[in-house]
Amino acid sequence: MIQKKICILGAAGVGKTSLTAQFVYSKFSEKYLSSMGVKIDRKVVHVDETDVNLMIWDVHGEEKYKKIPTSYLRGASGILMVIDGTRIDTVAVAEEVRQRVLDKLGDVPFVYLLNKSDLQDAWSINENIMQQLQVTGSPILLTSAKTGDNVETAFSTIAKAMLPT
Amino acid sequence: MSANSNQNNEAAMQELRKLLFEKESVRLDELELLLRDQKLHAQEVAKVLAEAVKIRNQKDDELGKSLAPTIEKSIKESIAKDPKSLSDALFPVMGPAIRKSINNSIAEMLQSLNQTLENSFSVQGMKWRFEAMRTSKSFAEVVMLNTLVYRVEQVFLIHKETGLLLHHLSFDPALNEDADVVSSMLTAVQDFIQDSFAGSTDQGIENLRMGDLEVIIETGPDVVLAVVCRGTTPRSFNEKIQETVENIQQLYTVEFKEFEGETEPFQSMNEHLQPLLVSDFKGNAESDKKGSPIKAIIAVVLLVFIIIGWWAFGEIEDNQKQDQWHNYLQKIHNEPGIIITNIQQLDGKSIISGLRDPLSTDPYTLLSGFGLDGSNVIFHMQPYHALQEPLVLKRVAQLILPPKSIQITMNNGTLTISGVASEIWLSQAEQAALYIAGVDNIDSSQVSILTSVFKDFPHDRPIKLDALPSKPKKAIIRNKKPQKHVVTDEAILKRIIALLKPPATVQLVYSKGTLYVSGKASESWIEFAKNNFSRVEEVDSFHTSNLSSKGMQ
Ligand SMILES: Nc1nc2c(ncn2[C@@H]2O[C@H](COP(=O)(O)OP(=O)(O)OP(=O)(O)O)[C@@H](O)[C@H]2O)c(=O)[nH]1
Ligand SMILES: [Mg+2]
Repeated sequence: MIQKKICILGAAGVGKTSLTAQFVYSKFSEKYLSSMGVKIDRKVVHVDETDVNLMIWDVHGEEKYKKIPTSYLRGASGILMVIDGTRIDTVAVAEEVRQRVLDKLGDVPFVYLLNKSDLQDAWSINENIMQQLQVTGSPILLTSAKTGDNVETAFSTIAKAMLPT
Repeated sequence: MSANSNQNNEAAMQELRKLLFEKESVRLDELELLLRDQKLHAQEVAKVLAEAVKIRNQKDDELGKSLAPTIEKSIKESIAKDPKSLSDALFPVMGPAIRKSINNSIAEMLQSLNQTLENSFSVQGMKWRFEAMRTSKSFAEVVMLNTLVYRVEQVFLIHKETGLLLHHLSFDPALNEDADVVSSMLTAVQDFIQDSFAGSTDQGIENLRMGDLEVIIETGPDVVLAVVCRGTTPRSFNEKIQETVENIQQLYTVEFKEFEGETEPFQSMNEHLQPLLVSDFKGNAESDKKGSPIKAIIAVVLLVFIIIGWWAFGEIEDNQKQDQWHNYLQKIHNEPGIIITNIQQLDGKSIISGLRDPLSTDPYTLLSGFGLDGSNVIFHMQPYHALQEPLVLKRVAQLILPPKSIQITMNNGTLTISGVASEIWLSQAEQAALYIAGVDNIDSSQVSILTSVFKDFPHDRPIKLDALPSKPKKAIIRNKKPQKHVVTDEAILKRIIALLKPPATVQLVYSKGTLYVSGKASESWIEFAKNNFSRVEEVDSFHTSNLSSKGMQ
């Protein structure tokens, strides 16, 4: 079986831990427990006839005085970049982190997750932002850790992107 | 890693900033440094410098702002030139903070590691050990745990770059489950610590300890080898680990560099890592023996037999004594519930160590039977619960107190209860017997449930369940359908006696549905008996040809 390390990154509170928990344990909690350091989980995904053992590094959110330590990025084969669809400021954070990842790791596959898609009323991602994200060429998915919408797809998309074609 | 450590880092940084940017003395030093070039003005400036800085600082913080880039630059240069001198200088401030952050990260790692290990060690491991107490493994296992000096429980070979697990070995397959997560977590901690010591490249952790477990970590350029041990390993073992890493690093450099997550090429690691899976027991002469735990187990078991057989090869000085001693050892070896692990001769005395079930025969009492002098033999016996079925059966009997109408037998872990009993007694007995180690299932399908109303049926001594631990999960095979009452003649007779209350001059015999009454009795009793015998369900006929009422009132 192939093993791959992925990192799930983004601003604080965008739902990184929730997405991982939904994916690995099929669980969701409304309670917000800000992550500290890194927590590693594992799940096997089946893509293109291959089993991939994903080692998911759920790193704490990027904050002004609590940057993501680059050491956690080492050896990652793919990045899930999470944006909170209800908080437009999390887009800029994602961009900043993306730059840092590219500096550290070079060209690794990214998948953008616009999370909390269940909160339609508070949705604040507009056309402009979508275009801005599309320029990167990375897949963009609307996800909800709450309903589980697109969560499996998110992880299998990154898994697929990491496998040699 | 944890909030604490991050916060501590933050705090440390703030403290550092304070130290660097706010403390006047630092600024003055820097200023003086900058001004030193201007030799002409230096002395004059020096006179007013302190005052000037003070005044300007009271007015605004421009001075600080304009100095900051220079200070930053000079720090950077200083680091580039000689990181060590700076870190030395900073250490008094940073040291405690860093140490704290390491401890926190280790604590955090221990937490994760602990959780993972705990799942596999404490819960499963304990279960497994508990299980071992009840299975045939227990013999070796019990002996082993009592004599364990150290045992390597797991070996993780980790790809340094990715933290991915390349190969894992463990003495217990139950531990394989979370090995990949542990491996990543270890790497995360290593990375974090390395980052925290800016400048130094290989200041990873080398050793972690939690309770009885020790994790020895050896890092090569591309791999990290983490070895989890129970107990205390000898120093030479660390060297062995080091050699293994060097060896592996050399042999697999290409594979490590090309590693893309496929662990298949590392299956052959076994031959390099297997030798690390060692253990040592008190019985062993050297403290750094090679071999797998299985070998060690066998070694201990063998030890027992060798000890028992030593007489055969020893010099025979006193044939008769030797024979007696041998026969005695043979006897206690065959005795259920006694395990001999060691026999020593000291000052003309024999010291026998081992394990003994409290229900087994006291080996001391057997000495005289072999003509041996008890004062020359000292026993060091640790209590344990033997799983030989005779002893299990004894223990069961002690607890459930079977009435005479009940037979209990043990076979392959199944306790079979047969005979006649009341519902209450049976269900109590079943519940209680489940707590006995060695009883895996209970088969009580052969028990006839007696619903008799007669109080004198041998029965119902209450079994105390309160003192027992929580209920274990074992199977009870029990006939769901109520059984036909197969009752002994003796029991029927008792009921008849209870019902008819015969006078002492009457003899009753019950056989195959017929009640034979003989002797002498009053008319009225005979009348009563005739009318009532059929109330005992099993009695069909009443035979009175040997009964007379002559001379009775
Ligand atoms: N409605 C809704 N709430 C969500 C969703 N995902 C996460 N949340 C909530 O958002 C909050 C933050 O979620 P987390 O998963 O802890 O966020 P995080 O990115 O891990 O946060 P940090 O670890 O602090 O960086 C929690 O209260 C979650 O319940 C979602 O898809 N829908
Ligand atoms: Mg989180």
